[in-house]
Amino acid sequence: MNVDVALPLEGTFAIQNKSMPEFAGGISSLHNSWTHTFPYPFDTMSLPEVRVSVRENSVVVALKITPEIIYAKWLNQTVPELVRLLWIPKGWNSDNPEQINPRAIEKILALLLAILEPDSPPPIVVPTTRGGVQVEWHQNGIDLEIESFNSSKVEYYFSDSKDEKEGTIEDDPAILKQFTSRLKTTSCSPRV
Amino acid sequence: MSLSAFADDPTIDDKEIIWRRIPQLQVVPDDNLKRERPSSNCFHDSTGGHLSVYIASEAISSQAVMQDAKERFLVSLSVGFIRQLGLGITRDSSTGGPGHALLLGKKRGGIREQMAKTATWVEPYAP
Repeated sequence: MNVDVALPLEGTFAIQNKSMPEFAGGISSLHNSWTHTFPYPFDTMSLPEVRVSVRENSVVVALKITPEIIYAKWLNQTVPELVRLLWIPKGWNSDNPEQINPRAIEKILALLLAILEPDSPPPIVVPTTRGGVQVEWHQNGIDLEIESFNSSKVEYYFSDSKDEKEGTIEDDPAILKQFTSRLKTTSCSPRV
Repeated sequence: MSLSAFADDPTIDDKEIIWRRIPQLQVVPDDNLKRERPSSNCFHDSTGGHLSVYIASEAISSQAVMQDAKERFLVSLSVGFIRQLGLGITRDSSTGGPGHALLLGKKRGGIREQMAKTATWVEPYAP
């Protein structure tokens, strides 16, 4: 990502119903005030590429992105879904998992910005028992899953009719870009 | 007790059915299969290093397994299929009640994916 052409973008995601007895309610239960604010009121060069700040009743997501990605369907669909995970309480299943780590959200979002094109299909977003997040695609004969469960480690699994690969990456997302480029622009069915 | 103390229990027949509880937040649409299924992450070992399941014939009922559970859905797999994947199973009723068992062995991504794709929804606990 070229910092010289990057644009700052900030969205504030506020919760409407703090009690949220059912966390499967989807993004409709969030008030999405995502806005593109230009120019940004401070030095963009000092921004990280992705910053997730959790406050009492809201989450602020700040991105440094290229202009062509701003209106990408996958970005505008995926960010609210990732933010939603931060309201899931600790112990949300019988394995008693930790609350979702905001750093895992930052990690996976930065990775998606590095490997997806503007017309890439949106991933499915799933919370994980390890307090992280998994994004996945199951379409066009491809299964691709990427899990971030702390700020430094990412695991992936890929399979199609010819190949099956899995492993761990720490820095270089190039191998994942090979996989995501094989996903066509058709999107997954919406979650029911 | 550490998991190294457990071994695959041959008294559990390959024809036995096991149940795994599935959180609603981990149900995903699969356009390849044209249906909803559990995410492979549902079959990740817990922090204790095991995967909790129930042997259907030894549990009181599916209702009992789901009573007070945080999960909304239930899927089934056969013990024979689990063993084909190189995994083992051992009874563990002391921690999970009647029928509770643990799946043993490393569940790498490909194995988790096969379990997720093969799992069958158990009525009435289906999406």
